Amino acid sequence: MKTLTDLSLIAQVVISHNRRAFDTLVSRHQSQVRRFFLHQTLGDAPLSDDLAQETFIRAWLRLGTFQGLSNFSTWLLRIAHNVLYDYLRSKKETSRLDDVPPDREETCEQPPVDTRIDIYEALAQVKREERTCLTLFYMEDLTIPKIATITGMPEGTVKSHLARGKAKLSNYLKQHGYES
Amino acid sequence: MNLNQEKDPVARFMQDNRHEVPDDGFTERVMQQLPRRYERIALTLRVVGVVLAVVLFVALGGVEVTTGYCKNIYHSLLTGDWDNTQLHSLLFLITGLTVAGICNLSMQEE
Repeated sequence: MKTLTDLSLIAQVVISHNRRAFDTLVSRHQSQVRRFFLHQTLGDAPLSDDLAQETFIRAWLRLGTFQGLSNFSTWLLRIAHNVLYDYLRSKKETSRLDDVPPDREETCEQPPVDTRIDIYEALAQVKREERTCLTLFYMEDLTIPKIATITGMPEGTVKSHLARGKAKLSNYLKQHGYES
Repeated sequence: MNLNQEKDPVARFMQDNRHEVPDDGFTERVMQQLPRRYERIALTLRVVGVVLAVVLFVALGGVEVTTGYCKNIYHSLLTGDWDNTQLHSLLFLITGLTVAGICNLSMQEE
């Protein structure tokens, strides 16, 4: 069977509320959305799945507003970003995501050298906004304008977060003996 | 990943740790959650519609009119004396019931 594009599947959902078409969209994009939440929640799988589910439900309810100006995955990640921030606001920003102090990488003690560094431990070294920008840029291969669209930040701010986050992460990787 | 990124340890570390998340029934769980919201709205609309229709039907004297027509049709069936109004009423009744039945079936199939 010919693989349908996201746009034709969206058209089927919007016009005839075709659930099978939406099923295909969810199946196609679930990995990216869940990976996004896993990185933002530092590996909290149950929370990530709850937030990802909320993202797809919102997408289903708002699919009629999708204008095709950006591609579907960018639109979906924008919803995911909003879902994450709504969740954090509802937790009054005191959730487990903020447990790690932002300047942890500046510690003087030398940790043991280990080339197998946990990605979530590494991502915990940077601030939340920096983490979002870093993962979207390096993991999802998104451009700075697209990251700006998803996060609602100006492009300059995205660049600053990327530079700061990268410096912290680079320092952390060096301290842990990650081979460059 | 371009050449500059290949040399960049951060880029390499991030790419090394990029993995696909297996579905493991996630899509099915999402799909199970979707109809409930719509069904709740649809059920509410249906209940409101039915209540409104019943109230209007009773308030506008629908009961008396229907009873009258039914009596006339029954009388005509017994005597074999039909007029156009009665035939039209019977036709409307049959058409209405057929349309309602088809709508109901199509909703159940969804």
